Amino acid sequence: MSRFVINRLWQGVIVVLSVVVVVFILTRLIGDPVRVMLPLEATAEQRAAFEAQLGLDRPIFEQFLTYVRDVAVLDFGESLWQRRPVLEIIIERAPATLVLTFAAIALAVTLAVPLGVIAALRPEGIVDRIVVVISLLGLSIPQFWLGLLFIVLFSLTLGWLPTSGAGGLDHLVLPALTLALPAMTRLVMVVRSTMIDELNAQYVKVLRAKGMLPWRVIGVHALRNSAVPILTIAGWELIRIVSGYTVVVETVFAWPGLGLTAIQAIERQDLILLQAIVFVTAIMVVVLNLLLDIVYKAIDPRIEMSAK
Amino acid sequence: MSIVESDSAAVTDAPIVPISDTQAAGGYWADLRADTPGLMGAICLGFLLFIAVFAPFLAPHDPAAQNIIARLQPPIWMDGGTWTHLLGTDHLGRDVLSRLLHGSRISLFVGFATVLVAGSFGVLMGLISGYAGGRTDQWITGFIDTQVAFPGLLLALLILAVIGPSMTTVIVVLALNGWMVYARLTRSVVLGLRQTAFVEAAELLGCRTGRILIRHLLPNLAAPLLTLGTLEFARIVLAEAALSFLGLGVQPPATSWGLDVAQGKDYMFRAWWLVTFPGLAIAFTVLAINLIASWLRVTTDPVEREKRFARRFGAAK
Repeated sequence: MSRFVINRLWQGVIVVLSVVVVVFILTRLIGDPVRVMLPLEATAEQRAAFEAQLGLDRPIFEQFLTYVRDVAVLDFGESLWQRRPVLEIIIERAPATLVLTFAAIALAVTLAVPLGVIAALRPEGIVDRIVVVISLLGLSIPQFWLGLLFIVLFSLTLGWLPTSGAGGLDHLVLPALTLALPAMTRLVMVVRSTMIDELNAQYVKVLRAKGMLPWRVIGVHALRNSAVPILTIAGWELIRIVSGYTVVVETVFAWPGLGLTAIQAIERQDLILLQAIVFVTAIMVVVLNLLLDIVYKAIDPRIEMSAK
Repeated sequence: MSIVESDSAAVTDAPIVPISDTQAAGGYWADLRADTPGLMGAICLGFLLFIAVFAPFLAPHDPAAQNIIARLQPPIWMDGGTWTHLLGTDHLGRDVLSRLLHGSRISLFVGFATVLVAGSFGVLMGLISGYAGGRTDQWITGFIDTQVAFPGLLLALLILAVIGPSMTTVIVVLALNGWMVYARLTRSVVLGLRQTAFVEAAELLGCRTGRILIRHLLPNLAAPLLTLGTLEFARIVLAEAALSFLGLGVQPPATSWGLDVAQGKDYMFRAWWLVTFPGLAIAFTVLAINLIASWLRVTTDPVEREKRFARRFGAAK
């Protein structure tokens, strides 16, 4: 187990290091940060001063070392847009994104499992067909459009929920639902297909033959045996949401998290803030991946996840 | 490695089970006609392709032509709608229907181009990785594993912010984000086929590596790659729409459905049609592609075919 964890940790370190290198190459070698961040009418002196301030006038190798050293202590510099340390902004905005993410994944799982199980009870029955059609629609509707439809329906027409921004629990409902739906539709299909396979297994027939109550056969035995594939996909969905799918939903609902901040940073040409958000997200993805792998291993000891 | 086993089993079984005649060109067609949702998807996609190709001839107006006097006109069936603008006009007086027709070009083109670029690169990497094995394989899989763990969308935002958004950048960024799935699929199939008799025979006959890869291994990949490519196509149409919605995709004066939704968003309460029609167009396109993908998945996978056959047989009894 400890060897497995160390192996995974090592892989995570490689991922973070490569993100550092890729971001460095992107922002310093391919792009010209001075051109991107300063207005067009800036004078040559202003450009030179700005270059010196960012350390862009030094040799590229030295720049890279300084860069790595700063990133290692989470010193991302000062935001051009807000004129304060980037880390401060991230610490301020990250909780909103985390709350939204976990609300969405919790919603997706709690909706998907019962729906998938009910659909699997009678494959090709009426409920099953409805579930399949809904999930196909859920996969096809663009998320940002769904969010706008929700605003029109629940906020403007019915007046039940606020249109945007953050605040009480009522502000969380629509963004979380919008973020959860595509994840839920994919999850429903997995729950459905694994449950259909499990319910056709021999042990289910034995349990039914010996007179066990149906809810116990389905809810305790079959569902427990489908837990690993369901959790795997739920984990993927969680990673998918964290690795950037909050951006769209946060923009639609003006939810003040990291995703909205990233878009605002792009609008204000604040590369320093944007690249810091990319790092922090990379670290979150790596940590989540590691935790999920450990959870799988704990649930199902058969899983062999040695690093080849 | 259960994937490899099932793949090789499927391949060695293929000559015994007579599925080969249904897999001929005519067989596919008959199979598609038997599958109503798949057929509907194919008809819808054909319709969309027709629109995309002939958009300049079909559109009643120039999609970028502004007419401030005729701004925010409702669709024909509402009070104040006119025959000149069947689906109404936007805040600059541009014809919604014409923009819709032209928008199909961007969606489908970006989809095709990205699948082509990401697919070719991914398949090449997968072929090399699976066939060469050893250290090459280790390096390529390590690279893929690392990139899969990247926060893809945010990195895409960074690239778009640095290079500047345009249709080409969108294609490149989406392809960079998506090639790994093709490589993984190709590699797993190639690993399964690597030890089979026909590949060994080709090697013994002295075929060059390139010939083995392209003439002997690639045809066996056609069916799974087609399914994956179709699924990815649907995903990319959605991704392009999302990027354009965020203002990081196709730039005005070009038209894109995602861009139109973003522009219509501010007038959502006064002019619902500005947001509704482009959104419906995206959903319609993605749904059509998804229907084809799910038909392809069942029809090209021997295991799924067998399940379907068993169900029909069971029902008949």
